[in-house]
Amino acid sequence: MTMAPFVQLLINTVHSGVIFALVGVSFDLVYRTTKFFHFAHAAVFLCAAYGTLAFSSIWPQFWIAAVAGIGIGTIANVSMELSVFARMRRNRASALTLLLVSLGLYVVVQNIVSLLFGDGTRVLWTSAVARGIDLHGGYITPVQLFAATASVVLVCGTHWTLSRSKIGKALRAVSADSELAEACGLPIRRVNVAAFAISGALAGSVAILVSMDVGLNPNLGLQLLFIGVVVMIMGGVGSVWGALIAGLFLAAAQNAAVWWLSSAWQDAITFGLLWTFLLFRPQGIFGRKAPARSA
Amino acid sequence: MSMTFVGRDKILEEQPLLEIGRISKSFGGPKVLDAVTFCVRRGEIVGLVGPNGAGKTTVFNIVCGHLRADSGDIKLGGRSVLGLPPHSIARRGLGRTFQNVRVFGRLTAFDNLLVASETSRWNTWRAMTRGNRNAGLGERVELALESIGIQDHAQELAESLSYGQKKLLALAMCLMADRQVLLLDEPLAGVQPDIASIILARLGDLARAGKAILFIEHDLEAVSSLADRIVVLDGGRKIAEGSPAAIQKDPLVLEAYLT
Amino acid sequence: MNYFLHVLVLISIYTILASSLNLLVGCTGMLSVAHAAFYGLGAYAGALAALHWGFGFPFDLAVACGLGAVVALIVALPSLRVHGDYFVLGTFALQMIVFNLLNNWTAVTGGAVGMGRIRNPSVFGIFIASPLRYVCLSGPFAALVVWALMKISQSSYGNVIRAIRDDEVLAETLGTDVHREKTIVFVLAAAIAAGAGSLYADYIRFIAPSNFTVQESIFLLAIVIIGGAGNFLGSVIGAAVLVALPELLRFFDVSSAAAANVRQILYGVLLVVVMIARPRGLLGEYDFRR
Repeated sequence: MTMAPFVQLLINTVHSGVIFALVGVSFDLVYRTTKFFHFAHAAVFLCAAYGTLAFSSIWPQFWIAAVAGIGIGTIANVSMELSVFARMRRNRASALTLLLVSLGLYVVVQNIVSLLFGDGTRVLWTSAVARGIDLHGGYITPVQLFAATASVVLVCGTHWTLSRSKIGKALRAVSADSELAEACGLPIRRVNVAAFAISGALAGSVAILVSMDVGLNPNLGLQLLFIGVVVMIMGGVGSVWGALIAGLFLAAAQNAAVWWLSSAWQDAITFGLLWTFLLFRPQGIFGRKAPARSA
Repeated sequence: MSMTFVGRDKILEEQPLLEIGRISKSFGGPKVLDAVTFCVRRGEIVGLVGPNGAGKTTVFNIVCGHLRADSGDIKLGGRSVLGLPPHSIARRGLGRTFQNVRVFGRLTAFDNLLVASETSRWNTWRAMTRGNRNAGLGERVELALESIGIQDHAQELAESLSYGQKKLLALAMCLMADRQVLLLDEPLAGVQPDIASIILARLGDLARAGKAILFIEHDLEAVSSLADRIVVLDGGRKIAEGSPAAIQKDPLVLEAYLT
Repeated sequence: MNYFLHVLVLISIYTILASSLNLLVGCTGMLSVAHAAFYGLGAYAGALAALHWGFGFPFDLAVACGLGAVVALIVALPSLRVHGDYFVLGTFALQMIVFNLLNNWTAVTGGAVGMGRIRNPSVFGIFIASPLRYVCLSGPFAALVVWALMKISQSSYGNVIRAIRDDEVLAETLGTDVHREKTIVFVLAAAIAAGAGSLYADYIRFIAPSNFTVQESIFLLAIVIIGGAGNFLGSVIGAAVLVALPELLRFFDVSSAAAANVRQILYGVLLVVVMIARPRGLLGEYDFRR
């Protein structure tokens, strides 16, 4: 029995897992800042990826286009917050109201993208089709290796920022108790903008990384949002390490399902995992408090 | 609702309606409640007092079932209710009001009381097919509205009532389903004197009718006029228990309130 | 004339979908983005039941509703124990997973290509194919659903679920088994949506996973919101407006692919504007303010 299939499984799992983790982290940042299901986050993925596509036709240097794309994602996230959601929250809109607006915004953005770029899969990055780098019997393409490495760097970087830096501590304070934080003199508005900027940049990065590998289509935003939601629930809100472990766990389960069963079962496994977590451990692996209803 | 007058001796012999036995609770840090023990008997009005953060509302939340105690036991009418969900405990005869007065703001005062009265004998199918102005229940609701003096506001949304009226409504809702034990969180706070006297009179009637009443209040003086017995908490521990006269002279209690 | 009747059939089916969602979102305050998933499950279940068993339309309808109810029950079990926010997230996950299932389980559902050659139903021996006959089937169904839901809403039960919408904790403190009632409402709404799916499948005779996406769920939410949350006549009007209005796009020279996008942009914008300016919608009594 050769090691090759298992090595491939391991490579696939790690590659997908860290990318999943990055998606989870970007969504988690937004969720713990806003405390509602920010569906429009899916639109941020689209803005960044398609922005890069648009820019890459203007500028031949892909990296400049990518940075611009990340910029678009960041700007989109921040401007949505400032122009729509912050104002609504000031008027004491409920979480349900914000969510419904978020849904509407997503639909509008996704369809504008469809109108401008079409529904088909577009290629973002063309490279010489190589067999991929051989790692002890398993293969990984250079793009995938880059994506995985970048994801790990970004996830660790986010964790460091949140736990060590001043802005990170401010972010955590505001997300834990915004009234108390404000009373302590933290500039809430600026902190929120920082949270959305970081989250937007992360979201843009992961959208571009994924699109470089598999191309992009208007449903990319939804697919990434879905992953982000599942990873966040499984890993626990507010935990970067939880997102990492959850991402790897999810990728392992999905790859195992594809390997032993068929790809149709992939989502049944995801559903089963999510169902189990919600039933037995809703706060996730490393979540702080159980998100149950309280008096 | 029958009014029976219960002799004092008889009360002391019976099993208490509410027994709180060595309840402890911590939220991952220091203990919020530490082996708190006391009981409330039929026809008694017990005041639960203590400085801010002493754990009084936590006791309420645990008795109601919204929080789970780390250790100890709660008995309602002699049967343990530890670990039961809030609605089961309510159906066993527990009523509660909240510190921030809670009513169903977007329902009319009438509908608020209707909802409160439904829940003792619940059947989903019958509830779906039964009209909203069921005659039998409607009469009880009218009576309740009259007893708290807001029958003219019956069809108004509850959120448009005054603070005092909402407090009365919340109290009435508590009583619609024949609860034997009442937990009242600051029933007199923030109300005008005329409403306060209505509430006081009502509470007296309820106690005489055999209900067990436990209420939280901050003001030691206000508690003394209403309560038969006072339990004092500080830092999660019971530091004193006794008649209002005894408590007011207790050095431990005075120290707790001053520091 | 046929075209007009065709639009009426669609309006009646969307009325059923929107009213059931209204019971869930407008009356009980449980936001779900998975309604299209139940719609799709019902459509495929009904079509497959007709294909494999052929016991007639009422049987297919029952299978569809049954599947919707069972899936809803399975989903509700864990999702309702946690914070309301997680419930929405859970419905989102369900929607994505159901779509992927319909899309990938090619052996059973035909995959992305869809499933065709669904037979028109026959009821009491009468073969129902033309739009006129179908209106006579779907119209009364829609009326029945709206009537039943209005009756529930005006009953004691309606009072209790509105109380749950207002303040769950208080309802529970008063003795309401909130988890149980929410489960019942969720299962009922899902079963009705699945039934609408079966009606749709038998009418259009061709279904594909792309009919039952998240965007469709959001479209149904838009109908509920614009018509008015908590008011079932509002759902009828909302369905009529949002189904008929895009048909007017035909009079403008818009390509059919772009038309789908423009239609979605329109209802997306409407949803945002209504939620910001008048969350109560046209006839609603619930404005989502906590």
